[in-house]
Amino acid sequence: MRRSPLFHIVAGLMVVMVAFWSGMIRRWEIQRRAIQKTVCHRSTDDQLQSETTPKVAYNRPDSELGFIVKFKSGASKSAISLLLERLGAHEITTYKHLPGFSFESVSSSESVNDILAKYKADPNVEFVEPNFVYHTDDIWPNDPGFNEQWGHYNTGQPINGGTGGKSGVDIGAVAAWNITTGSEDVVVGVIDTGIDYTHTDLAANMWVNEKEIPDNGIDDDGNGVVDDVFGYNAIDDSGDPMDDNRHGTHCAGIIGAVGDNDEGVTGVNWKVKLMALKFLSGSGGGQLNDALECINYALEMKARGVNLRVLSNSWGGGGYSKALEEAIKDANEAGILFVAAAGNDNANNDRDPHYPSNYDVPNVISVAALDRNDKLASFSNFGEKTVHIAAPGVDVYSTVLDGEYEHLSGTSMATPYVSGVAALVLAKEPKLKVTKLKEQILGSAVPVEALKGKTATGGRLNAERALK
Amino acid sequence: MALTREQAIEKAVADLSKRRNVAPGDITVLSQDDAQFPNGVLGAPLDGEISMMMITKGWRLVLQTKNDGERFEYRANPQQVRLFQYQGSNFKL
Repeated sequence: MRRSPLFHIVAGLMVVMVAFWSGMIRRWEIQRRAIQKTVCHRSTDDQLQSETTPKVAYNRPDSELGFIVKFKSGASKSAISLLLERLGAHEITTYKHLPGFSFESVSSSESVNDILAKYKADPNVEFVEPNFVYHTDDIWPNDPGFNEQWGHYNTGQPINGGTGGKSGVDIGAVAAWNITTGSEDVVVGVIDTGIDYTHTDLAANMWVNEKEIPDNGIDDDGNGVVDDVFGYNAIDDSGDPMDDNRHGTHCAGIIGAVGDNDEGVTGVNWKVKLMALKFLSGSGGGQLNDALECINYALEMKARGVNLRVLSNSWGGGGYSKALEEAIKDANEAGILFVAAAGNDNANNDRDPHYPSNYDVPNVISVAALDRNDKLASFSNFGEKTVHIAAPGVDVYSTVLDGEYEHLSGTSMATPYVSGVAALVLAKEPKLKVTKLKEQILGSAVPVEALKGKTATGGRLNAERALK
Repeated sequence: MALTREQAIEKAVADLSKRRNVAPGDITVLSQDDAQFPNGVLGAPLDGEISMMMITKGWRLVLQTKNDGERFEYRANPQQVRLFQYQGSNFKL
């Protein structure tokens, strides 16, 4: 039976309608995913930053956040007013030729993500995104794990699948990177369990002993160690400081995981040179003699012209040692900053000394651990006289063995933050003497209520201020 | 080779058996809980031992000898087993 022309017209219209709505649904889905990928950040200058390209920031007063909202066509004025009232938002402007769009300001202490979620939950909202400000010269790393590095930049983002912290509680790394991202001329010695020098997010920042021919079995440079290409292993007195724990690799990553290489994480320094000095075993313990050997090696290489300026020491225990104190004094004479972990016993180091952080030598900086809510970490040692400064030390994300990454906690993690900032300062001011370097780091600490009476500075490490 | 919790318990029982001169069967494992320790030596350093300052996950094992009811704490993780504060000292197995 032949169908009427009307049937064909109706059928054709139906096909067109289906195609139209399929396209609309696909467009909305793409927009939804684009919004979900966007995370807003907040710098210590109270700017919103996003990790989607282009890089973004938004100047706003302390208590206000800006959003661009597209309301659905058909959304009533009363429904929109109710939403704004519920969110504590007010409309700043609409756009004559962009129907449904509105620029709104929200007075809230909630995080950007929380406010976005509330907008999206409203049935009248087609989509919403933070107000982005475009800079052509933003310094922002493209490392995919950067959002986990709250110690560098904290907007209150969830960390390690858990809760977020307090926005702004970080070392101000992004602002600091506008000044310098580090220098390959600065060498930091990491005295630890070794470093996985093959990790692809560390390899380019490893110090290399250019005077050694790798694996030829000869002490080419005559420094007493054979094939010491990346540093020294005091446990077996060899030139191979490969990490067999992960602790040293993690600390090294905090100082100088390669930045902006579209891989993993970034260190406080995007570029730096890391010398691996292994004396801690795979199970994390070590002996005084081996620690002395590592310092001895560092001093030897310094005397041979290596620009070793910082020793990072995420270890402690063993009680007072005059020998170790003398070695640290020698490092001081050589212009090397000695950064040390304060310990994890929730103890007062003013009463119960913890070494080496308690040595009263001018080049020593003792470091406590801070959590992402700007509180002293529950485990961290403290001391109004003998612990100098606090740095991020809870759920710190960094490099570990086998090309992997992990969140770890301890004053071990806080210590390389200070070492990293020292290296950043030296990248900008290479001739700075060690006492001035220490003064600059400690003098620029951001006062924190929870640290009053707990550390000498009463404050949190801040890279940007240390650089100014 | 990385130890499992069960292997750590076996080592602890064997150590305590030898140390207290009791048969392994006369030792009770009272608890074997997950724990976090303040450093790489599980908060049980040997004399003069230095350690990495990282919060380290492991197991706290409490054993009891049946003959006298005394309790002993062992601390372990995949890399090590240590006896905590036995007669005032720590020991690494």
